[in-house]
Formats: sequence, C-alpha cells, structure tokens
Amino acid sequence: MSAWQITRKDLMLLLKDRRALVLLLILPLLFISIVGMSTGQFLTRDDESQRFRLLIVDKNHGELSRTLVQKLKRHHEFLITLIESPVEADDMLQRGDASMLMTIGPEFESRAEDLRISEVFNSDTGPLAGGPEALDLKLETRPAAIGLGRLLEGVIFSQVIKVVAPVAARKNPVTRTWVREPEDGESLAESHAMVSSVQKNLPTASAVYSWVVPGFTVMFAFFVISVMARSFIAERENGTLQRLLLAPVSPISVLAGKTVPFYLTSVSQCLLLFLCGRMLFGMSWGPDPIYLIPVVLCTSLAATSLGLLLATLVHTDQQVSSYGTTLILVLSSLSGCFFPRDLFPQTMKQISLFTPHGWALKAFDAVLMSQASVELSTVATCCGMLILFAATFFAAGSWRFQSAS
Amino acid sequence: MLLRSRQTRTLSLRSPVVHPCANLLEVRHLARRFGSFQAVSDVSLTLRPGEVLGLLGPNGAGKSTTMMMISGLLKPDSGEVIIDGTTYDGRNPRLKRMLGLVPQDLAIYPELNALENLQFFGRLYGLTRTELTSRCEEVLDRIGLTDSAHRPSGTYSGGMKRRLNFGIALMHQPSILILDEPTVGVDPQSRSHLLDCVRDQASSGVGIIYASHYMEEVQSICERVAIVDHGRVLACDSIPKLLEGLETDLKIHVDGDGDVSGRLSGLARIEPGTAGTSVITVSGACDDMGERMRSILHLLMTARVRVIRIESQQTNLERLFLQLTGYGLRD
Repeated sequence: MSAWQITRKDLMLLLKDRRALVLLLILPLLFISIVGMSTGQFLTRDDESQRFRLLIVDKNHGELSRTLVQKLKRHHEFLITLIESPVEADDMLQRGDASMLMTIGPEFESRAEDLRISEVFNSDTGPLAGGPEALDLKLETRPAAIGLGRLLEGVIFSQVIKVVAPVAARKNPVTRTWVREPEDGESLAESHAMVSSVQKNLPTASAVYSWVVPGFTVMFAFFVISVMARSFIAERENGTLQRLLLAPVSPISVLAGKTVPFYLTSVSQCLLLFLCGRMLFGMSWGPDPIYLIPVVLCTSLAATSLGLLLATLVHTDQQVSSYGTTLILVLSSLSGCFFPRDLFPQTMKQISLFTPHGWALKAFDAVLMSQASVELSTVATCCGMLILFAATFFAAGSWRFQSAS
Repeated sequence: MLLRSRQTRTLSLRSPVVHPCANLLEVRHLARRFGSFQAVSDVSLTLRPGEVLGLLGPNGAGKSTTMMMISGLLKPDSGEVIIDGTTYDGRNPRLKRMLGLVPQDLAIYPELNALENLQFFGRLYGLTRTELTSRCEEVLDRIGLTDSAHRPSGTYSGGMKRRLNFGIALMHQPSILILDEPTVGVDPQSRSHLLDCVRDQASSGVGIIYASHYMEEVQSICERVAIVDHGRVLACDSIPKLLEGLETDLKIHVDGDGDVSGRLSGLARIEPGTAGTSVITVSGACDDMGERMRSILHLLMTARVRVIRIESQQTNLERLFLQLTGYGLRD
C-alpha cells in the first residue's frame, strides 16, 4: 500500500518532468526516423531508394541494345535512366547521382551477332572472358564505390548474356529450338520479357525497421537508468528520502515504490515505439506479435533494475551524466543496438550476450524475423536471462540502498 | 496512537493517550562516532507528554546527530531510545507513527503543491481518504497556506516552505515532534506563526524536542533546556533553575567611597570610578545576590554614601550558554 503511494507520487513527478518525457519518448522516435531517412526508408513506402540508379548511354541504337535496356529496366534492383549525352552522364556519375554508367558502344550488336553459342556457355574463356568490354560495353563506377561497382558489373553482365545468348543460339540448328521466337506484333525486346520472380520476394522498405526499431527501443529503454538515478538523487537533495525512511514504510517498499513508475514508463516507451514502427514506418511484427509483450516486459525489468543499481552508486547529477551515459552507450554498442547483430563477427555476438541488451535484441530478432512461427525456446531463454539480469541488479541495488540507509 | 479498526480496516487517528507521570521518550547514554570523530559521547534525556524540551548547543555539538538517532534515521553505537516504554530500533512501525520530524534542511517536493505534499505524506502514514481531506484542510489552515495550497511549493517564499516543512510533520498527529532549527531563515511573522504552532502542539499533549540557536525562541517556548556540547549534555533543567546558578555581576556606582571599602571586604570589591566616584562590583550566583545586596545597601546607607546608579548584567540563557560552552569560535 505504501509502495503504491510512492509509485503514485513518482508517476506524478515524472509526468511533470517534461525533459524526462522528451528523453524517453520523443527522442527515440526522432532517432528511428532519422535512421530511417538515412536509409531512404522514411516517408516513402516504395523501394525506389533501395534500387541502384544506372545511367545508360546507347551509342548503338540497335534492336539488341534496346532489348538490353528493356531487360535491365525490368530488373527490380535497377532504376534506369537513358542519357543522350556521354558528358552529361559522366557528370551525373561524378556527382553521385547514379551508382553506375553503362555505355553501349556502336559495335555492341555486331559483336553479339558474331558470338557462337559455345562461347556463351564457356564465358570464362574465349571472347567473353574479357567481360562486358568484349561486347563493346563500358561499365563505370565512382572510385569510392569500386566494390559495389564490381558487384553490379556481375549482375549487369548476367543480363547481357541473357540478351546475347538467344542471338547466338539462333545460329545453331539445335539450340535454335530452345529460343522463344517473337510472336506476331511482338518485338524482340518483348519476346525477352522476363517476369522477375525475385520481385515478389524482395524485402519491403519496412525490413530495415525490423532492426532499427528494436535496436533503438532497447537502447532507449535503458535510458531510464539515468532518469531513475536522478529521481533518487532528487529525493536525497530535497531531503524527502529522510522522510520516506522515517515513515512506517520498509526500505524494500520504498525501493519497489520508486522502481515501478520507471518500469511502467519503460514498458510504455517500448510499446509506443513498436506501435510507431508499425504505423509510421510499416515495420513487420513477425508472425506472432503477441510474443513481443513478454520480451518488452523482461527488457524493461532489466532496465529498471539496472537503474536502481546505478541510483545507489551515484551521488550527483554529474555522476549520473557521466556514468549513466557511458554505461548506456557502451552496452548499446556492444550488444548491436546501432548495427544489426547478424553482421557482427561471432566473437562480438558472444560478447554481446554479456549484456542484457544482447539478450533483448536476440529475443526481438526471434519474434520479428521469424518466417513461419516464432522460436519459443529462444524467446523463453532470452526472457529468462533478462529476468536473471534484473534479479541480480535489483538484489545488488537493494543491498546497497539498505546498507546506506 | 493509531488504531486499526477491525470492521472497516482503516486507520483512525486520535490524540495520544497521556500518562502525566510517564516519560514519552527516554534517551539513555546515546553515543555515535563517525570515523575518528566522536559526534555524540553520552547523551541522556527524557521527554514528557506536552513538554517542550529545548536542545541548545554550538555548531558541531551533536544536536542533529542526537535527533537523527532518536528518530531512528541513524543507528547509535551504544545507548538506547525508548518510546512509550518500548525500545526503538528505527524499524517499529507503531513507534514510527508516533514520531514526527521537522528537519533542519527543507524536506518537501518542490514540484508538488502544498496540498499534494501533505496528501502524499498523509497517505504514507495510512490516513484514509476522508481523514486526509479533513486533516489537509486543518494543517493548511494551521500553517497558513490555504490560499497557496495549489501552487508548486518550489515557488514559495522561504517562510512558506518552512511552514510546509512543519505541516508535513503534523499530518499524522505524532505524539513526539522533533524540530531541528525550524525557523532558520524565516521572517518574524513566519517565525511567530511557527512558534504558535509549536505551543498548540504542546498544549494538546505532544512532546516536543526543539533545537535552535535562537535563545529568545527557546526561552519563550521551552520549559526545560538541555545544553549540549562535544557530544555531552552539560546541563539539563528548567530555565529558571538553570539561571539561578548563573554567575552575574552587579555594579553599584557611588559618590566617593565613604570609607566603606574595609567593611565591604568579602561582600564586594570596590574600584575607583570616574570623577571622584567609585564602583562597587558584587559578583555571584543569582540566588545568592539578594542577601548580599541588602547587606551592602544597608552599609552604604549607614555610611551615608550616595548611590548614583546600579547596573546589572542580564541573566539570560545566552549568558548561561556562553558560560558553559565558551566564547571560542566553532567550525
């Protein structure tokens, strides 16, 4: 009963503390939006920003070059822009307005028609071993994106092969039958139409939020430790902690009373961020979103318990700022809040599991990234570990509090 | 005392049961050390219902430490605190409800208004909703903050904050009030108001320990005074009794000396004054002065010595305090 009175009072104080509310609720939303914008995923629900802009200068102007352009246009990864002027195209590339520039030379069609089907099948040797240049195709990229350029070159060349292979195949009486001839009224380009099945399976724009939202949610959930520590310091500085200890309330009730408001705030914060992730950024909640709830509850428990421990270790606002912020940033960095854990080396993944954040992110991964059904055992293990962290922090914090009081 | 009603499961408040002869509070040989510094060596006190016990001492004398130990916020190294016949270890909820503390430093929530502050602490002590409403009104009226009750207390003046600080301690109607310099930094109006509140509490049977540096305050409201220094009680008695033993000087300015210097020996000393006058100085405890003055004045009348004037040093608590604790500056 007394603990509830303390909770009620702290909730009232929290609601009057606009700075804390901004820190806990508005700031994470802002961060998620900024990261979303930086990946081109905010305020747009289509995939344009994920596609590579490919400039094409067609000096051939033949049917085959047009066919190639059509094929590349239908490839979902590319955003094709045909440019008449090579100089203008080069300028655009240098400015960073495009990922790559492909120049189809005047001899493209003639060289394609000179190819034999055996040379297409053995493209690692023979004329095609020289890459696109063998067909008078020039692919350029910016020096800073040389790795990406090599990747795109491979993709483009595979499309070129698909275009020139039928031409070579028609010259052989056996392989001629493998090629679909254009129907009446259908152009050669149309006969090469390819429905990309990959398009259906391409990840939507929301995919990036499946790691951004949980990452920042976990990080900001642990921001509550600073707010909690400041609350305890304020009680000391106001002199009201003395009154609380003098009142007929046990120290544990005081602790519980002071911890609950921040727990409720943390849970609300997490749920709000996931809700915004869904409504504003179109993130997926996975096949069984109900399992997000225990993960959120356990993450918030670990966060508020750590907040209690920090509150018993610090004595001034400056200490809260330095120790609290260091703790938050170090744990967030180690665990994968800023960067998808999937891209971590194995050692880092193991190190991340020494933090409560790591277990929280692993649990969120298991819920959000599952295809068919959630791996309950993983979620249960992660929640168990979060509860263990919470129990350890709470025990240490309450021991320190009772010793000090 | 607080009672829990079986039927309604609520806490009801009533005035403490007053046993005129029983001590509400007994403090026996309290001691406390902080590292190598002995803050309190040996403090023993008693407090009866309705009594106001002043606690006087210079800075660092051990007053606040003593009050923290009495209230249970600090564990003594030795000694005991007995409240209402039961040893108090700082944990007993029944005894905690009997205590009210007005700390020297303000202990209020500046973000909350006066009403919210009172309501919170009232609820913490188990007041029901009905009791809370009427008690808040009562306390706000008593401390003179009814009109400002809905403003954040952080916006209050110093005097208003002190009154709220005091009011919070009254919410649960404690039997023992511990006040640690409650009028520091307040204007005379607020101080007068607070002292009236203290008198009201005492008259309703609350035992009060009042620590202050302001002698006139202590003299005006305390019946007994304990003077503390270096962690010990140097003197503890009613103010008149303490002042009886106080050494004081009386100076009688006379015209010439009428050749009485020989007869004054043993009673007073005589020194030349200005312009042919003499000054007869009579030193001694207050209770001793009456008889000696009669003898000296009779002597002077007989010798036809003209008395110009008589000067006396004020016998007051401050003189007693300085005499006992010394005139040296404290850290």
